[in-house]
Amino acid sequence: MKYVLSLLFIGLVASCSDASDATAGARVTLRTRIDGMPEAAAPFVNAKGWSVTLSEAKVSAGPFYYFDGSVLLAHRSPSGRDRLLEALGIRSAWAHPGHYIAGAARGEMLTPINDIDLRSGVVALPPGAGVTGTVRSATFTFGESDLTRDVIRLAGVATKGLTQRGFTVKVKQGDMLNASGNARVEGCPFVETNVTQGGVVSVHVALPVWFDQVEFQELPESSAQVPVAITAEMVAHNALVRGIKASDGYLFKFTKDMP
Amino acid sequence: MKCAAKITSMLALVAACSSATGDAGTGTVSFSTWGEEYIEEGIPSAVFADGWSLKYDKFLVVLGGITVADDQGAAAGSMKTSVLVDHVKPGPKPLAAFQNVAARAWNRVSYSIAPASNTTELGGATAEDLKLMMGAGYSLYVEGVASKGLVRKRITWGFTTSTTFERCRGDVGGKDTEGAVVTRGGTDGIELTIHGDHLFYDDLQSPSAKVRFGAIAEADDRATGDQDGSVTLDELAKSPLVEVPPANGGYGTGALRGVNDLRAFVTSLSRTVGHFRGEGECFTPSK
Repeated sequence: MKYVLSLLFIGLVASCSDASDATAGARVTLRTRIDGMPEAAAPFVNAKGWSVTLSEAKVSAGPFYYFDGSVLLAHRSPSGRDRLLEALGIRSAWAHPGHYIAGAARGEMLTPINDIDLRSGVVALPPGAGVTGTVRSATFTFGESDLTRDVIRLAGVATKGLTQRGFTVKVKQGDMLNASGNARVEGCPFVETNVTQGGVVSVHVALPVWFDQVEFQELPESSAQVPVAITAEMVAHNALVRGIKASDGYLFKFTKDMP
Repeated sequence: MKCAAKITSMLALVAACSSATGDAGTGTVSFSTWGEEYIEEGIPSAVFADGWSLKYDKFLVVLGGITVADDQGAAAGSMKTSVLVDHVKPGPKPLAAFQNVAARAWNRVSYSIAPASNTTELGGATAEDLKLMMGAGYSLYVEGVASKGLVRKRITWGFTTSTTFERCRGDVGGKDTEGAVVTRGGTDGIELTIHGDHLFYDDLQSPSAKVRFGAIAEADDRATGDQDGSVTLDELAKSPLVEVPPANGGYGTGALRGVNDLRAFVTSLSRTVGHFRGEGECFTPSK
């Protein structure tokens, strides 16, 4: 009931607004970009102790959707990333089946873009649209709807002590289906912001989250020069896909346009 | 002019929806708890996505810390003790009642499921149950048998988690309602409902999570288990989520970090059994 009343009120205020009115519900343009990821170019160490250096990191991404529903996060042992999220105002809580409720839609970027090179720094995406109001969460989707399409391509080398594993991996959209049968990651944290004007929505794809639980030991001996393919029947593939599905692997942030 | 009229109408509507103010008398807020048919009678195979069914033999929960307040911090009542209930025993069990509460909306109702202590009272459970819970520091303890065809798997799981359920809201007469609503001379009877199927969800965040047991049963059957027909939490700890075949369930963890095996997964789920007025939910901050 309260939700319905909220929507009624937002709709009422929006209908009362004129073009110059920047109150809640006013339309805004949300330019979109994927931020540079230093971890895409520099080595990072995963939870299994492997130092991972990527030579290729491409993703097909979009559409993105933004909502006012809070993301529920939790941690047993707070990591640096957890503390960062809390510092940014993203509250921690124990999640619950069904507890993430997207709430009211605040914006979207509808154009899917294929093969975004995550190693090339800031990548500008097509602009999106939204309305003013508070945003707290987002949905990340993996390109045009085609379950057989490769939506992620990764290559690199993992090193642990004297052991080295060179790898390539392709992840199909069909691998990314969630419990609802959609190739999307819902409940991604959006740094809580009251959007009052147009600006930029930046997306940070946390590649270390993708690789966090990948144990490279099971791969055949290999090297950067002679890599092996991580294929769907491997535990390492399952670990990688689980990491890609983790919603804290995608951090959205809004920056308003300078006057 | 049109906008002013619309906003005036909306404000009038909001005012009409608001609780009455002034001297409205007093009433009572009472709390009970119930484990529903899934805990009393069992979870049928139709509920499980993989054909299993489950019958609980014991479902011990320590409920306490019930507080009725408003969003300004004013408290109408607070429960200082806790109650140990066995939800396999049929019917709702009384927990607490706050009388002479000002008749108005109290939109901040919270409670906890926390380890048993010296102040824990018996609410249908036995003295032996209480001894077990206090000895191990359990807040939740379940025993049961899952079945699929001729296969039987016993579970005996105890959890030491401490969870506070805050800002509870649920359905009252078809209306989503925060907390308690006290009317003059009336009683708002609130049920803290315990959902026994939640221990077997295959996703910690998705509203489309399915109830499954296959991956849990496999923890006993696989090489790291002892194949004795009993699935222990230790065996679940030896079952990394990355080794659960996707066909056995996604076991997605959403934004939760550090949940990497089935024991951690089930322990996270153990924090989700508490509900409010049936299907209503509460916010559960991390500890």
